[in-house]
Amino acid sequence: MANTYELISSFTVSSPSYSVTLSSIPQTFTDLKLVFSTRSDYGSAGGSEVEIGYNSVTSGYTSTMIYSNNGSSVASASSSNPFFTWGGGMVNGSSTSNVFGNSEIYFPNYTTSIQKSASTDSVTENNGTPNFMQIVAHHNSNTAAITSITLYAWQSFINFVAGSTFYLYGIKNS
Amino acid sequence: MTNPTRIEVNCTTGEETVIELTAEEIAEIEAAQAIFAAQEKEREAQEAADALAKAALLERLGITEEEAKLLLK
Repeated sequence: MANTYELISSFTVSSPSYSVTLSSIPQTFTDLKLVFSTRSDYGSAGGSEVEIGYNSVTSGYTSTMIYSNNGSSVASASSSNPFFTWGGGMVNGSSTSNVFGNSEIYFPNYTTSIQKSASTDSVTENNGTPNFMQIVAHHNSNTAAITSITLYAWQSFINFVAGSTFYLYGIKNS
Repeated sequence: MTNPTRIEVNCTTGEETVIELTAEEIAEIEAAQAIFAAQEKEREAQEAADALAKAALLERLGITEEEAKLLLK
């Protein structure tokens, strides 16, 4: 385990909101880890995507995802979107009550002046189908240090509901 | 009707701010959502085509899906 694994910021949604931005991220660590549990107010069962962007960058995102949504088969998908990329899965409002999607995104070398990569692993919870497990590899060609991260509840301005949580950790080996 | 809101959390000060999205921000997000929706539609069409091709192949081979999985073990 890293010598330093420090909580930078924690936030719990109290009123539904379409996006959460973690800004003014300290530049004193080597890597970042973002852990979030989210549920939306979208009126269907199953899960939706949490989208993620950095620094208000609006170009250069690509990602590849391996996922399963029926418990028996695996599929893959790729995306290139100028505004954001896949961040992880969240549970929709008509799924089993009081359950959330759980995701972790790891951002290595976030302060360096190189193109940025990140990785996600994520699962949604639901006592039924559909359900999702995802592993996502991200890339953005922007070379600026990451100073802010924004997570969006996808699908036509659905919202993160109250109780959705976001924890940002700083990691370094000193 | 009020616009959707975003929340900004300052990781240095801890300050939390709720901000209503501007028309420009909404338009930008809608454009991004349209791109994702088109990619999703394409992916779903490919999945459907693959499922049809798989079913046709299994029929041609005269085996079930479980038998095909056995062969691949």
